[in-house]
Amino acid sequence: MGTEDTSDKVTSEEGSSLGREEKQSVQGNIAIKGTRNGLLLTLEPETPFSELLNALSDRLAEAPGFFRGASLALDTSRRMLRVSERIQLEDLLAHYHMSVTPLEQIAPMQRNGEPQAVPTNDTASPITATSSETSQVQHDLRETGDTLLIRRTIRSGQAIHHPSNIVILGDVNPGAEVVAGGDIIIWGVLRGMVHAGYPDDESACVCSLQLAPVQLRIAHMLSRPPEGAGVQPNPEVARIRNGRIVVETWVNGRPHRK
Amino acid sequence: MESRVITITSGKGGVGKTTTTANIGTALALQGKRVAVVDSDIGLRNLDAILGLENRIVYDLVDVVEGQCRLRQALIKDKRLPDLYLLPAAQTRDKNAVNSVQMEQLCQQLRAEFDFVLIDSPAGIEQGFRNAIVGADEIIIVANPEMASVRDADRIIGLVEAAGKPEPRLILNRLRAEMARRGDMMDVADVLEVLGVDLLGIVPEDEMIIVATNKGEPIVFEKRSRAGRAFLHAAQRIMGEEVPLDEVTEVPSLLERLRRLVGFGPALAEKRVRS
Repeated sequence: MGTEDTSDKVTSEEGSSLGREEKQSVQGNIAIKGTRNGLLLTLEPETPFSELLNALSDRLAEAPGFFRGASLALDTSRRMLRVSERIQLEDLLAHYHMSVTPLEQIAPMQRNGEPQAVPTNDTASPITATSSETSQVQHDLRETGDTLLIRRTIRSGQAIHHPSNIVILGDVNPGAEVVAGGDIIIWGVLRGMVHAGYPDDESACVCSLQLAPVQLRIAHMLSRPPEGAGVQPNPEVARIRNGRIVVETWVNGRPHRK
Repeated sequence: MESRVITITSGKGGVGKTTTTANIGTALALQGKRVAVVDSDIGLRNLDAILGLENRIVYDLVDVVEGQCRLRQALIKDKRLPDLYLLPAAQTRDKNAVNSVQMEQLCQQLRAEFDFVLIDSPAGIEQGFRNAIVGADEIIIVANPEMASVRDADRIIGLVEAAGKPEPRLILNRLRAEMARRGDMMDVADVLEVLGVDLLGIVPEDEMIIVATNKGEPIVFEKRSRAGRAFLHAAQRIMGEEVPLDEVTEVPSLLERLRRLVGFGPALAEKRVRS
């Protein structure tokens, strides 16, 4: 399957394999370059997105061990991506446990008056960045409705980080981690750890068909299910009310107030 | 027939990977298939002992990979079945003695000789695990009905899918049906609810396994053992046969059997309602 194996081998051959990537880039319409800040992905401006995605998929499949866990910056100076395209890209990268990093330092922000094309900032970043600039960006994303839709079960050891809302068609299993700048909606059973409204949006909520998390966080608050409490087999929603996280049954299309 | 490479893995240690490998390998060989079982747990080998072949090891997997010997020289023929061979792990080396490319090449070599190649994976998610799955067509996950094991299995399923392998199948090992029925242990439905994969077999807890393991006799030879029958059924399912999943049903106690004989046992009452 892979051409790179042991980790020390990868490091020693990094230079040469990157050189090879650049050579192939003309043919494959995509380029993956090593930069000071990590890997940089450039997409050919004229090629249809599906072709680009296939080319990237082939490239990743060639050396899955090499790319695993890497974070990839997306160079959007020549090509903007639609929201739906970016989600497809993220899905592909998630298969290789890769994430997309923001690249303000590489490409200048170019999205004045471009509501549907979100060029830069992406998953994994808000967890480390806590500046006011980040939360500003997140706020913008929530307004634009840039929700991440994931159609699979999130298993132990997998992490989904997204600056806006996250919708998951599947379960979130114990040991999995889902962190969203906005709301988290799970069409399935929530058994893992979720953090909605990261880092400080107290209006965010978490909904799932069955709410049984290991731990549930909203903004700066944290809650654990009470010891020994049974799990309700009903859809429930968790949100902050009066300074604490409360869980309410979802009845007739809205949270039920007792 | 197309040769199939199947890796048996679990994430957590001690759930019965090696026992499962030995028994399914033996069961497939009993059905007349040519089978190689490969111990990829370099440095902590055990498959040889469970098959009772430890005193025949001359060369091992690392010797083959490093070109110290030919593959045929390292393969140990089973003492009971002519179609079963073991490729033992090295005991004096560690997991990094072999890389993924070498392991994949080894799988290709074995494919040419055997109908089934079963690879016993080490515990964990590091290099040893990656080596074990790199050349596999199919993955079997072994889990026990307990939280830690199920959680690790879930992690492994995620990694297997990320590696581009087909969805693994599950063997639920060491189930105590009576405890599960009382709610003192996770039952089959609880485990499947979390993992969401297909079930290949359910192996009941069985004291005879301990005896068999210590003697180096796979339990599938023991006709009276329910665990042995469960492994045999799992092997038949791997070969594509339809075998009902009836391993769960506990052998009724003497008292229960008496009650049924008299005619007002719960099982019989249930049957009447259904018919």
